[in-house]
Amino acid sequence: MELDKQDHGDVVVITPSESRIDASVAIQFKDRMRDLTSDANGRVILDLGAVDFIDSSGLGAIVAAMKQLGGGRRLELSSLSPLVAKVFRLTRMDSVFVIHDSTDAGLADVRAAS
Amino acid sequence: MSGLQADDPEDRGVVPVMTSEIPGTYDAVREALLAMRRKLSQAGADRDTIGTVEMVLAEILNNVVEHAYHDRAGGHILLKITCTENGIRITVADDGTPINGALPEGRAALKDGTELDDLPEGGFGWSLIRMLVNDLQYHSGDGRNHLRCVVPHASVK
Repeated sequence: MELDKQDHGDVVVITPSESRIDASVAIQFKDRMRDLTSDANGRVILDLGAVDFIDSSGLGAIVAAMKQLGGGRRLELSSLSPLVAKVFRLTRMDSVFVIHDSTDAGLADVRAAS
Repeated sequence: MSGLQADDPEDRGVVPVMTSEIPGTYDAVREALLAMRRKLSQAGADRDTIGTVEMVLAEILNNVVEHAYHDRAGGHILLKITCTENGIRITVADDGTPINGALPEGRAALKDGTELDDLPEGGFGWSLIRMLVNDLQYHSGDGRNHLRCVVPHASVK
């Protein structure tokens, strides 16, 4: 599970390069997210632009990745494909995450920073 | 492992899309989903319908790997997909542990104001399936479990 990490000021942007977060990689994804966010104290944006499919295991792993941020912080998501957005919508998880149209929009969103 | 019944009278007049026997592993499920995408696309299905079939089939097959075969390799899954006028019919059979009683309802939709620490990390599979299909049927007998359902053509459900 390849995840790219970039710092934009105090915002961390994590971008999976694989097109699927599914049962095959869910545990790996969750562990990699823990590695990459353990020292992040600010906002974390997960850019899902390259991901065209998640199943409920992948969804669970993304929820777990938010919970392991700690401190009541919300994981932010950007660039959801229609099918990925549908999984979040149907499970109502879209009400829990901060969701941006794009990472650029997320970085420019000062409300999310508060 | 013998095949799915070939002479199901309900299958008359429908277009076969895919018949496959796959190992009961998550990697094999992923390959089967990618193959399904190609076959349904070749059969002329639209992208939204294919996406919905992929969501449903992923949950059904992952459930078999996890709950019928208990995450142990060695089991097999039979998969058949046909195109009917009502939608895409999915038929799945396995030789693993049967589901006792009624099919699970799955987790209820998230309540507003759920605390972060209380957010569920699983259990959405059956509720997603139920939200997206019609005519969900399951039966088990002679050591084999059969599950079938229909994903309506896009925008119907």
